[in-house]
Amino acid sequence: MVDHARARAIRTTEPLAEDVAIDGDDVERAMVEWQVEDAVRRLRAEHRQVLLEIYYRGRSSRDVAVELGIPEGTVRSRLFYALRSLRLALEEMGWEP
Amino acid sequence: MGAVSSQDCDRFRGLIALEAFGRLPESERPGLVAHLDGCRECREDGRELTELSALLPAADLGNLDEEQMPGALPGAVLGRLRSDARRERRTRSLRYVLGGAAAAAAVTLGLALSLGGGVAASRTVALTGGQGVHASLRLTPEAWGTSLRIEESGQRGGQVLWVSMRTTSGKWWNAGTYRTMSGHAVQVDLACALGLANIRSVWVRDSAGNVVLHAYLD
Repeated sequence: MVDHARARAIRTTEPLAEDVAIDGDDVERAMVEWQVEDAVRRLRAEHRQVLLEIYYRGRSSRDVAVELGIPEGTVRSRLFYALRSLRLALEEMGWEP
Repeated sequence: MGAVSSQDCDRFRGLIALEAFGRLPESERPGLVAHLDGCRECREDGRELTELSALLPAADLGNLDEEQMPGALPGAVLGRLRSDARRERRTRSLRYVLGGAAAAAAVTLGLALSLGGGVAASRTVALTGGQGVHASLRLTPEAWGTSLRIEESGQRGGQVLWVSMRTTSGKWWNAGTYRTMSGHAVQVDLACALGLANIRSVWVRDSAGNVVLHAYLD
């Protein structure tokens, strides 16, 4: 009885469905993810910093400007050029809009 | 509508970037809208950045301040894989048109057989490479996918090579990486969740995306 309960308890996973192994959309999504991450890593540090703070961490350009001790317009400008550089990097990797 | 100067554009570029993320403060929207109304170049910038911002949710950017992630594929390799995949899709489309119903039926039958989980035997094939390079690949079907053993010699040492596989449906799967050693034969064991029956070809590329070894299984 105990052994039976233990056996049931450890069988908590399900085998992968066969179609999971050939889902090309998942591969495509993984490739996009890798490419975006790789492109972000290639950005200049000051560009990457404002991109991550504003986009990923949801901070305002004013907050970032105060923290970095630079004008808010500079933060916004860096964000613009970060995105332009990101687009160029992705295009070099073969990304097409 | 007044004339737009480049200084105006400089001032509004930051707002265009914020707007692409949906982070533009409402108080600044009227000014940006008025500028875009009279500036085709900035409208184009806005369109491009909005396209780009749609890609960002696909990536987990939360850990990018940390060390370089070893699992990340170099951009050059990814770019080559993607362009090859696109070319393959185009070729496949053309083939389907030319082949008509008979070809489609054959493809359907092949896919059905592969989905049926039929067990394939272990296979060993020669890998084609540059002059002086000798390499073979053994693929063994496993319950979890396919194990691969690459044995090779004659490659320039110190290269990091990326092993990927193309499926019968034209998709790419990554199997792993290894490093070559000058003057030494290398034996590498890799694994992939893809079933052996679904693997059409195997490709080994250097970090610039150039193919250094490849083999077709059919």
